[in-house]
Amino acid sequence: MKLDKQLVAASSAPLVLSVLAEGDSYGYAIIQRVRELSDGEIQWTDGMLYPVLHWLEENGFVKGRWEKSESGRRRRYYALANKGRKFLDEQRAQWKVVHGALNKLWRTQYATA
Amino acid sequence: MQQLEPKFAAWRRALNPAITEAAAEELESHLRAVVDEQIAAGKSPDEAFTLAVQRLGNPADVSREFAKARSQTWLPVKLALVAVVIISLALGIIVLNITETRGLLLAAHTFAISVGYLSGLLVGGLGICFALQRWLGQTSLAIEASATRGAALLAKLALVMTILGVLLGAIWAQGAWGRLWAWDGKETGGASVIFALAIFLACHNRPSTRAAMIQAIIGNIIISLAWFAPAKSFVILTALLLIHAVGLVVAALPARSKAFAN
Repeated sequence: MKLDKQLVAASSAPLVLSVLAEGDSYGYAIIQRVRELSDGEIQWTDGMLYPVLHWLEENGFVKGRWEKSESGRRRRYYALANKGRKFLDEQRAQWKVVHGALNKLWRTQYATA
Repeated sequence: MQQLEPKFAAWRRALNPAITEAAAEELESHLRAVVDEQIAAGKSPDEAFTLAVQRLGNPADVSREFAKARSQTWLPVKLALVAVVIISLALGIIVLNITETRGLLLAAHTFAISVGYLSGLLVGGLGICFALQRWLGQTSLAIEASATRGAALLAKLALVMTILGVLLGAIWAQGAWGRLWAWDGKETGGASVIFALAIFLACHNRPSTRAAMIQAIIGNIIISLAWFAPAKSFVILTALLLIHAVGLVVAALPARSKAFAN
């Protein structure tokens, strides 16, 4: 389904940080994971991920490094930093608030569904 | 997949020229991963490439995101540029004062060489700052980009001014001592600095920022020797050499965060 632009934008940082909380990763793999987790519904334009990653890196939420991939080319890996973990916790708290409120409403409104 | 190499090269060239080598490499690596995925799914190499480019978006658009957000200036670069302006003004004033006693030619030579050497030293200074931040694990692609741009700008200024200063010095030497060039201490120093700066600029387009910064620190050692050894200012020289030796050691250390290798 087509997701609202603002929803995609708001969820991109928490999604990327949460994927990195599972383990260090690189751009392409992060997108694959998000796609997999959403059963293909969240289809980020591949190019859209990098500004998010670099913004996270500049603010110290993730740390980037170069590693040699199997093919011998350099690949940039990202790891969640402590500052990033704190930021992710804040984001999660915010999402819980919103999700909690919507859930209460939808539970009663859509009880039979 | 060899047939696709020209296509990858053309795609990479189409990226916005303002993005860094590192960012271009990251994007290309992503493109290749998507191409591999499509080939594994059974597409022909050419089809896979076309699909991958569609997925990633057209190179100009994809890299525009990078270029516009990434023009921040790293603090040490800002400080260095301000320092160059202030120093040039101060030197200009000092030099104007000695014009009467020593003549315009010598004054101009002194100005050019001083600005040249000081700008060169600032390039190495940036190298030390970068080495420290890298060791502390606090760099990012944006900082690397700003550091590279700042260092290149200062190095070009340093090279032009040093060449100008050396030429003016030679002309003055012809008049005052009857010969253009005799490889004395200061002349050899000037030539070495030109050599070091030229090499730095020539290599500067391609290597990792870390390599460039190490070259810059070594360049500073050369400038320090060129400037203060002939003048026998050994206290200043020793202090400078110590600072730069520490800088090289820090640059050689592995960066603090796990397996950070740039």
